[in-house]
Amino acid sequence: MTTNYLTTRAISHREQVCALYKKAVRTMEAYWVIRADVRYQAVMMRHRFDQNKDIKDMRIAVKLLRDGEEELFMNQHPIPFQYQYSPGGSAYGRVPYKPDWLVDSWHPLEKASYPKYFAQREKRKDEWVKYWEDHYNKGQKFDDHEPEWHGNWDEKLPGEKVGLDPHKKVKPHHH
Amino acid sequence: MTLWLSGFFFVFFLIMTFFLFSMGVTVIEFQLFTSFFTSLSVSFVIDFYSILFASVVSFISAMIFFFSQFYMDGDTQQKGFSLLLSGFVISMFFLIFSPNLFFLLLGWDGLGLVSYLLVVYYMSVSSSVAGMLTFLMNRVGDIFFLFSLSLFSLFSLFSYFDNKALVFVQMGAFFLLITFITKSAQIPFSSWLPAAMAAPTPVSSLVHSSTLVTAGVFLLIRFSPLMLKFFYFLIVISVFTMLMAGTMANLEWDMKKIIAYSTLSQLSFMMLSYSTGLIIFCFFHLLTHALFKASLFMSGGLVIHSEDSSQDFRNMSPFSSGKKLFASSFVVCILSLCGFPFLSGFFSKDLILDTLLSSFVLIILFLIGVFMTILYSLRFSYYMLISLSSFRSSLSGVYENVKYLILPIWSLIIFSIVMGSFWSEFFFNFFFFFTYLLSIWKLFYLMLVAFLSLAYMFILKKIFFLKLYFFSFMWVLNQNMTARGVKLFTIMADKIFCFLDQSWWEFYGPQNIFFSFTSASVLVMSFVEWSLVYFFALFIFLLFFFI
Repeated sequence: MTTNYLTTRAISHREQVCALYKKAVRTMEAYWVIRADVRYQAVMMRHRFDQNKDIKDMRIAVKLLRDGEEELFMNQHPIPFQYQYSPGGSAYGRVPYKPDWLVDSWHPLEKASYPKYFAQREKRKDEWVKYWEDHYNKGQKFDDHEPEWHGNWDEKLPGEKVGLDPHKKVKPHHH
Repeated sequence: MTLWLSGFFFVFFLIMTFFLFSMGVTVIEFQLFTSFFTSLSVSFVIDFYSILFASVVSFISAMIFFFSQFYMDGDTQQKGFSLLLSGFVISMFFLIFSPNLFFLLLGWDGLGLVSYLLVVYYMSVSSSVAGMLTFLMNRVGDIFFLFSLSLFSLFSLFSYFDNKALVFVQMGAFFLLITFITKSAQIPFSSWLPAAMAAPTPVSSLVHSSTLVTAGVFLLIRFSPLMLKFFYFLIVISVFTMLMAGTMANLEWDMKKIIAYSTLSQLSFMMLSYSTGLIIFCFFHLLTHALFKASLFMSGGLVIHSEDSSQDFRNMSPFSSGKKLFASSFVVCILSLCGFPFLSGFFSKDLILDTLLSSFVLIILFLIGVFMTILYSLRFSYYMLISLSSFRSSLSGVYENVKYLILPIWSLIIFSIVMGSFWSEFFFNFFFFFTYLLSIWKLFYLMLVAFLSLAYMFILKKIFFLKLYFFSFMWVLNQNMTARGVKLFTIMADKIFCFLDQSWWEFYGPQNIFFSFTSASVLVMSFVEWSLVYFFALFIFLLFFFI
C-alpha cells in the first residue's frame, strides 16, 4: 500500500541506496521470524552494501543499485509482514473514525430537529475559539504557530528547517 | 444477554443429552397442506445423527456465547452481535432437524445470510470484500440447491426419507452434491473459507468448527444413498483440497488463517472418508473435530486479544509465565488434531487411516495430505510456543478476564479429551485393537514426519517454490473463481451474443419462425377465406335443395 512508484521529487543516489537497504531488511523480517536470524541476515546485507560503498564511478554504482532493486523484487515475500493497524494489516480500519465536524455539515432542517443540542454546540465552539485565542494564540489575529512551508512538501530537502517565514513581520507580544 | 443465550443453549444441550440415552427415531410432523400426491409439512427428525450433532452444536455454542461475552466486551454492537450469532445457531438447528428440502433451504439461506452479516461485522474494506466473497460463493451453492429442489419437485419428493425414489433423479442429486461442497469449501469453492476469517474470533470459532462448514458434510451424510454414484468424483476433489489446504497452512503466517486451512484439510479428510464409504467414521470425526477446533480457535482468539489484534506469527511476543494455561490448551488441541493416542482426534482419525490404508487408489496423495496436517500442526505450535520474536510487539499484559475466557476453552478441551473414547465406546460401538505389526508403520511414519519437519524448519525455507505465488494464494483459486471466472463468463457471453444470438440463432430461430408463421398464417387465412365462400355456396345450395 505504498506509493513509492510515484516519483514526485528528485531522489539522490545516496537516498536510494539507503531506501534499498531498509526495504531489504524489511523483507528479511518477513522471511526470518526469530530476531537473532533477522539481525544476522541484516549484518550480512550491510556487509554487502559496505563492500561497494567506495565506488566513485557512478555508472557502476547505478548498475549495482538497479541490480539490488531487481534482486529485492525477485525475493519479495508473497505474504509481506504488516502491522495490524497499518494498511493491509488484519485490524486496519475496523473501527471507523467519525470526525466531529461531520455534525456541522448537517442541513439546517436536520439541525433544527435538535435545537437544544446545536445551540449548546455553537456556544461551546465560540468558547473554544475564545479559549484558543486567549491561551495559545496570545491575542494575534492569525495563527502563526503552525510550521509554514510555502511550497510542495515533497520537494522539501531533508535537512531544511521548517518554521516561520523569515520575511514575514510578526508583531511583538504584549505579555 | 449473551450469558442468557449461553445458558439457553446449555439447557438445550442438556435436553439433547437426555434424548441421547433414549435411542430411537422420532419424527414430529405438522402437515401444512396436501393435494393429490404432494404434501408439504413441517417436520423434525430426532434420531441418532441429529441428536448427537445437535448436542455438540449446542454445547459449543453455549461455550462460545460465554466466551464472546468477555471477548467482545466494550464493543458497541454487542447485543446485535449475540442476536446474530444465535440466529446462526437456530438456522443450524433447522438444518440438523428438518428432513424436508424446503425447510433445509430455509436453514441453508439463514446460514448464508447470517454468515455474511457476521463476516462484515468489522467495518473495514477488507472484511466487506471477504463478506461479499463468502456470500456470493454460498449463493452459487444456493442456486444449485434451487435447481435440485425444482428437479425433485417434478416428482413431488421433498425429504430424504424418499431416498429410494430420489435415486431416479440423478441430476438433482449431483446438484445437491455441488451445493454441499460449496458449503464445505472443497475445490474449486475454497476461496471463501480463509476470507471469512475477517469475522470476530467467536464467529470463526462457531462457524469453522461445528456449524457452517460442517453443514455440508452433515447433509451429505443425510443424503448418502443419493450420492453413491458420485463417490469417485468426490474422492478426487477431497484429495486435492487436502493437499491444497496442507500447503497453504504451511505457508501462511496469519494465525487464524492457518487454523482455517487446517479446518479445510480436516473437512476434506472427512469428505475422503465419506466418499470411500466410511460414512459413520466421517460423522464421528465431524464431532470430535468440532470440539477441539472450537477450543483451538478460542485459544487463538485469546492470544490475538492479548497481542492487541495482531494475528501475524511474525508479530508475536513470547509466552510469559501467565500464559501457560493458553499454551497448554494449544498443545492439547494440536495433539488432538494430529491424532495423538487417546485424545479424541486419535479415535476418529486412526480408524479412518487404518481402514483407508488397506484399499485406496490415491494412497500416496492421501499420505502426503496427512503428512501436511502434522507438519502444519508442528509449525503452528513451534511458532506459537517457542517464538522469540518479541521485538515488534508492545508489552502486552495478560488479559484481565482470563478466568472467564479460560472456562469455556477448558471445558471444551476436557470434552475433546474424554468424548472420543466415550462416544466410540457407547454410541458408535467401534472396535479398537492395537498390534505391533499394524501400528509399527505409524511410528516410522512419525519419525519421517519429524525429520521432514525439522528439515523444513531449517533447510527447506530457502527453497524457491515457497516464494511462488501459486502456493501462497490457494493455487490461484481465488483469482480464478472471482475475477478471471467472471471475465471468462463475460467473454463467453460476448461470443455467444455475437455468433449465436445475433447471427445464426437469430436467422434460424426467431426470424425463421416468424417467416414460417407468417407464410403459414397467410396460407391458413386463404383457406379460411375460401372456406367461407364454400360454406356460403353450400348454404345456398342446401337452401335451394330443400326448397
